[in-house]
Amino acid sequence: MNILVCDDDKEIVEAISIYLEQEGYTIWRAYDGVQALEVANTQDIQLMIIDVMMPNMDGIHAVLELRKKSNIPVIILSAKSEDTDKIMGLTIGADDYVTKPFNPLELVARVKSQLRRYSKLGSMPETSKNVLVNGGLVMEDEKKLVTLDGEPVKLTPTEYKIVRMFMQNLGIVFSSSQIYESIWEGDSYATENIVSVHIRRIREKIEINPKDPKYIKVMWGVGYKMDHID
Amino acid sequence: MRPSVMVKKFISVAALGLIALIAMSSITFFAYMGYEFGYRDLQCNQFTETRKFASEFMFTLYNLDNSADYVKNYEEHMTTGGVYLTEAQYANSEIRHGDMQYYRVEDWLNSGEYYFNASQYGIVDLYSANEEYNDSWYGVTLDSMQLRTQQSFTVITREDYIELLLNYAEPNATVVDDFSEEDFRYFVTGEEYAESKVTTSTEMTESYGDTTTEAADYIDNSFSPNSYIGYYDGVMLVYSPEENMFYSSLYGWYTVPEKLYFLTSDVQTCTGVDLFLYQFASEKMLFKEKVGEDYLYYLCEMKNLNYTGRNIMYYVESDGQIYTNGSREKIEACNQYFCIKPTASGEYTVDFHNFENVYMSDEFVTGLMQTLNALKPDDTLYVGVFTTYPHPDSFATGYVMFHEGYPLTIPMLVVGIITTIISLLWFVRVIWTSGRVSKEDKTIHLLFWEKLPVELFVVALPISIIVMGIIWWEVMAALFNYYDTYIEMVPLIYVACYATFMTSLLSLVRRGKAKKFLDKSLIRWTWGLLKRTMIALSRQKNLVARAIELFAMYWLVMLIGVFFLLMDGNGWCFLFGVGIIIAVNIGALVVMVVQAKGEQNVREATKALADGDLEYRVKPMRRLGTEQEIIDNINHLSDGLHKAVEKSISDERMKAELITNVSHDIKTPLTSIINYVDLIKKEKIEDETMLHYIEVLDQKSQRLKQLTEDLVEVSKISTGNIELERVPIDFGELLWQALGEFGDKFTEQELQVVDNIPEQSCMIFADGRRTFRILENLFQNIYKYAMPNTRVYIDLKNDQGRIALSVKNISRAPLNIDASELMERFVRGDQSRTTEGSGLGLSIAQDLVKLQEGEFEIYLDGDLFKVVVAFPEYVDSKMIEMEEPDELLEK
Repeated sequence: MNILVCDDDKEIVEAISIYLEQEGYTIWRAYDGVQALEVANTQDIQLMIIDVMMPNMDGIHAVLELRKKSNIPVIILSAKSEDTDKIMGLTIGADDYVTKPFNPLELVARVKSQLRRYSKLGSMPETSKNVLVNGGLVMEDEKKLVTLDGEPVKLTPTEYKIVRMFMQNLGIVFSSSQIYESIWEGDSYATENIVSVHIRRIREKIEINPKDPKYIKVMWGVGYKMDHID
Repeated sequence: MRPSVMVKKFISVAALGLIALIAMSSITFFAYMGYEFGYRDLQCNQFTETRKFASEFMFTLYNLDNSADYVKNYEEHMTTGGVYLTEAQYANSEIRHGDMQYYRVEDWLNSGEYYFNASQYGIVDLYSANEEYNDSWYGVTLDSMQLRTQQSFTVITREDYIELLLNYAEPNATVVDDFSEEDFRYFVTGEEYAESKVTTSTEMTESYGDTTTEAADYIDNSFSPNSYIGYYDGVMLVYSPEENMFYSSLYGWYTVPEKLYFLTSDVQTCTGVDLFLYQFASEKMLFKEKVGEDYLYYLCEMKNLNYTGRNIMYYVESDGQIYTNGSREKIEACNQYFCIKPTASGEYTVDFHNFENVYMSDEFVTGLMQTLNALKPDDTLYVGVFTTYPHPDSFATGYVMFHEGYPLTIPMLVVGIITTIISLLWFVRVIWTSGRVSKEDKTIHLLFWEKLPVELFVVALPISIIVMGIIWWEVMAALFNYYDTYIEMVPLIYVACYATFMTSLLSLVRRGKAKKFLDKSLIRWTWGLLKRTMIALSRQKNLVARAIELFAMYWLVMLIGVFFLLMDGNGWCFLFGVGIIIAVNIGALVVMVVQAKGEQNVREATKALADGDLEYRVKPMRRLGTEQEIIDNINHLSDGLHKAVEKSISDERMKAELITNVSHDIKTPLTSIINYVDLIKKEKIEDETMLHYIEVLDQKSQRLKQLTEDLVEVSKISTGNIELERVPIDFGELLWQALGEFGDKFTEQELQVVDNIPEQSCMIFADGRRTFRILENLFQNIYKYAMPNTRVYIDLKNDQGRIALSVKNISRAPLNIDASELMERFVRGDQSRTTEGSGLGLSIAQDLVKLQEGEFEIYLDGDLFKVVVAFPEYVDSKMIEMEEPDELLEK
């Protein structure tokens, strides 16, 4: 697997390369947008990690250029951590956005996730009635099996029920008490804490970064929901 | 203009004046000759053959006939006709008896305006009956005496008047009563005068001038010491009883009849002494005699008939009476005469001597026939003319004119036409050449008198024309009517007028050509003064002084108005005064309204400014300067404030941006540090010391990361540079979620959470993520600083619309600082700052609470650390509607 890492800070490129090479990936290095596009055009690249603020051509323009020809996963790695920056990055065609300073393990996990999804596109198992799919998350109810980007996820029965409830009701917000009543089928008195603890644990299992969840989102002060993901 | 040019111009103008004078004189001469003589007279050789001679002859004859009629008629009704003389007035200059003339002035149509009867004597003038102007009517007052009645008055010479008085007074005499002492101004007897002469003569001379001195000398030589001498209103009067004669400095000598009668009710009979005394009596009493007006005419007509000083002589024999101003023999000695004798058959025999070539116009014949018709049979009329013209009358004038002036008529006409054309052309040239553009500097040079106001010339121009016209008319009138006028002054006045006229005209032309007509003018000066005054007023910085000045100006103009108002109670001045007062008051109103409007604007502006509308600008007004200054100042103030606020906003934004950028710049190297520290950790390092070092590096780099993020957060929140997405949320639910997130961490620190969260929802209107951040920070705080193995109390209460969360824990380290200090940025519970954390947590939490209109309080009591976060309860309007009926039912 060829991964293109592009950052004007050579040490960062080097560090990322070390981590990814440990995982067995081949790393192509670039130090500005122009170089990145050259590499992407000449080599068979499966994924690109690119910084935003670079000389010659910045990351945003590079991604825009890249997207004219290629649909490989792109992870933007930027020190810009504002919401607007993230929205911008994701809007122009990036698949993920990681802010500096980043956790190397998280980055690697995200790279893997993107690659899995990219390589398995088109070879999706056919959806049956008992198979729930949302993004990389697949739940085969008959087998009581949950996979994330193809990797099986170990869930407790309660956690499994909660996930199934969300996947059956994509986009619907459930408050703690509703979840409790539905899962535990009992009085909700003074037990909301249990729900939030369970959900945190589920997130830790199915999310790459539990503090920035992709699947089960926290509506603070309202409840939890799972949004539909392509 | 160069001096030589000026001299040339002067000569040119003077020449123009001369030529124009010649032209006018020639034309006038021609007109005059044409008036006096006809076209026919051109062929005459003798004066007697001319039309003028004939008309002159007829005119005289006609007058004599009228006089004769009057005299005859008067004598017929003398016995019955009463005439009245009401008042008389003195005159003080000499008149030769031969110059005697009189005018009958009649009040036509009883209009109060007097006209000379022009039918007889050819002099017409207007005279107002208004009392004030009695003394000043034209040409008569000073030279004659006036006898007035209600309807008319007659003017005769003073000699005739006295004669009239003395002769006619007797039949209607009244007795003089006593005089009061006050009526006498001053008089002495000759004896007293002689005694006091040495001492008084100087005084008298000074008082009464030459007349008095002459009179006094005369008295010294001629009068007996018994004479009475009096001075009255500048008139010296002497009465000598021995000679029974009067001397008056006005009249000269005259005798007094033995008895003198005065005809007023106050005066009956008097002697010469009485008459003398009477001169000093009240003027009003004098000459209130009843004297017949007709008698005056009678006297005058008699004089006319008997007048010998003319070149025509008549002789009438009628009913045995002879009327003549000479004698038959004298007429027959005349060069030319005719004699008319009616025959018994009603025919006339007219015997002409040397009258063959007399111009016999229709008028002449008619006039002659009228005269003949008045003659009765046996009457004889002789009329003769001395063709040597020994007497200076109109015949003599006509003769001279015919022989000396008349031949020049046609040449004068030619001269007149030529000079008129020349002067017109010259005039145009003078106008054309004046005010030319100078060849040297291409501008029109103005003369020094062009610095004088233009109005002077605008007024002088018509006045000089009018004066010249009047004088010309006067001169012509005098020439045509054979009377003397102030002709000696005419050339001087004419030159002055002409100079004024040309100066004014050329000055106006030059100003006009230079397009500087109003540059030097009273209008512009007045306007400039007014403008300067207004500008000075408007620039007056001292408002009190300005108010006083305005008030003073107002009253100045008001007083001018009142002055005009009072000067003339009901005329134009009154209207002018009223106009000024109205105008100045309207002006004052305008000023007040403008000032009030300015004040209004200023007030609105300051109000808007005080209310924080920094965009508000006072509308600029056309107005006096001070208000404008206030408005400008206010606008400047608004501008300044606006800029200051904008600057402070932009400063804050820049500060936030700076922090964001700096933190971004820190983040990049920090990434490498963290990553490589992580990589080092993965190396198999055995050295304990090294491992410890790496651990420190790891911790500090992680903390730096946290610090950077918090810094950005703090700067954003404190500058208000975040957007809150506030929605109704359940604080209880949020609390459970947060507790769920932190459950493991609290367990890790062996902290037991004692929660007291109400079952029912506690809705607040807040941004869920930010509010979670508040709780996160609080819980983070507990996690970091709470004493392990203690209880943490979390209570949520809905206290009458106030959702309050209280979090209590026991601090691990002694809290030796103040509560308020604790919330300051970068302050942490442990002074050593060894533990993880930026010290910004509480500060961020507090700012976020405040941003969402909540309350944030920290209480420290020993080791007890308590935080209270309170928000107002969110009440859905729909929910209220649903709840209300329940509440009502309960009650």
